[in-house]
Amino acid sequence: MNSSYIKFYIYKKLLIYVVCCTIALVLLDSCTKDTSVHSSKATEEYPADYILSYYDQICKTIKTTPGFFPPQAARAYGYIGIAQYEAVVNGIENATTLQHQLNGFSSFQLPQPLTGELYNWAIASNAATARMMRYMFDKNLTPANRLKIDSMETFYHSQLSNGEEISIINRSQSYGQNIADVVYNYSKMDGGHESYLDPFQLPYSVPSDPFCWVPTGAITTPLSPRWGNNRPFLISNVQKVQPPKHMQFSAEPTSEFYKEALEVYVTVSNNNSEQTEIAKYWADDPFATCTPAGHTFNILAQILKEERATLAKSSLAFAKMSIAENDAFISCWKGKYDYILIRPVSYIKKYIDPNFKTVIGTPPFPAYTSGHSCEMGAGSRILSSLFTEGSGDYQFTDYSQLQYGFFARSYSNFEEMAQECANSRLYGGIHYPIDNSKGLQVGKAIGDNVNKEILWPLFVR
Amino acid sequence: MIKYALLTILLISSCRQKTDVGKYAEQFSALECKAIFLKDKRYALADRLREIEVDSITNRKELDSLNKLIIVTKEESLTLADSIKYELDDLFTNHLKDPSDRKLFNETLRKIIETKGCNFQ
Repeated sequence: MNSSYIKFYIYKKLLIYVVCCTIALVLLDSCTKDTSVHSSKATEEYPADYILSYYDQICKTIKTTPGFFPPQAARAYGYIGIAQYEAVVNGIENATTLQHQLNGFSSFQLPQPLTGELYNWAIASNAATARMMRYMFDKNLTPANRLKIDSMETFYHSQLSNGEEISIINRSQSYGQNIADVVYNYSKMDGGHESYLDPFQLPYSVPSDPFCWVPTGAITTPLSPRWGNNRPFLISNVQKVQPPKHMQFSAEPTSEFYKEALEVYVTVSNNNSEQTEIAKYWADDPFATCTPAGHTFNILAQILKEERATLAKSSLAFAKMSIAENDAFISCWKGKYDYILIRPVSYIKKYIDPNFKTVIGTPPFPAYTSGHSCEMGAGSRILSSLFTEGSGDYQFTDYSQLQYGFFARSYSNFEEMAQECANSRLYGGIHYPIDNSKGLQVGKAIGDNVNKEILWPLFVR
Repeated sequence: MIKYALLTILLISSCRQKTDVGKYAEQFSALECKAIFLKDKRYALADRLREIEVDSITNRKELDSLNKLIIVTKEESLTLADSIKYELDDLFTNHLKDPSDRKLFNETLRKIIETKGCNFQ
């Protein structure tokens, strides 16, 4: 064989090889496209960027909507969380709807995906989340916030619909909207419907016993006195976790009560700069933040982003946290108005030092137990279940307060973070130590209930 | 020889990383200073509000002007919070992807502000 024939032979073989490879690649690509676009992909195959953006927007909406105090904010997060989860639950392996697991939800009929039809769960969740947000802030929603939610919905709908069949798009969108409608109807019966229009639930008379709450500022009636009667998502979160009665009221310096108040007084008088910073950091400060529950959701969203969580994991995480936070505020508020305990500032000014000043403002409702401790106790248990094997050990830095002028704070365990949050109320001078310890205890029990009593899918990416 | 080359590359890349974090923290410090300023202002306003609302009838006039100032400060704070959130998202998504870089960024930011202070002019 001469050399030109050998060259020709090699070129021919190479050409055949290249052509075959190209055909194979084209076939492979088209196969991939077919299965990835026109089918009910699993929820974990969708990115979570858009749902994280919505949670950012919920925070902004709370900050700029009148009537959204901590209980009202937790409730809004609660029902939005349920709706967005129900919209994707059928795309998560081994996941079960919450319909027969949440208190009173069974009597509302959630739409079911049509047998044999394909859905895009992200389109459904986009529609459900946006609609639920409009519902939860409804009458007080500012035009700017409404416009923002509308434009987010349109933008993400278009992005998520890219390459999808029109019938799937329409079916999925309508499915998500119907879910939001049903969840909204469910929410109307819980006792907190449109509570943002009357957050102080007037009229309400505070008993005049010496141990009872008295105004600590210009607001003369306490916030949401009947919130504890609201329907929780899990009955056990109210019935089984109520704190014991606080220590016997007394003005005697040898009494337990006096000692608790004195501890507040001594702590505030000797706070170092770190403790003052912690008090303000967790106060979710005056006029500008999306309440303690919002802070916890911001932490969750940050971790989900860092973990590059899928839509499945993010939706699950928001649902768990939503149930825990909503119920934590109901349960905590029940205790607050069962006991109507006087705030430390009122007691200290009367019995210890009339010139006593707290580090941060005392919120207008009774002391026992601490709302922050309760909600963060619950939140810590949810975070532990989501990102650890249960130990709570997790290295992370909370950057969510940089926007409000605080340096980020780092933790190595979610319980450590919850404990710091609880302590912050003592450093701030607004809670007795027992408010914080019992609040944490109640909150953790609520978090545990949410993790255990609901059938959650395991091993979600 | 290869060992030295690898060591040099490693050194250069680690130096470069630190410089970048420092640069980002330096750039970000101006925004954070504004946020600290507004935070202090909000707390000062809240403190003053607490002092005067004890006798709200006598202090009606100051209370009204304070409330107006609170609204303005809140709006300023919210606008700034949006800008900071946006900047931070961009920084973390595109430049400081590693958690250790982010932590270093926060520490450097604190150091810069504590050492140089903030010019609130």
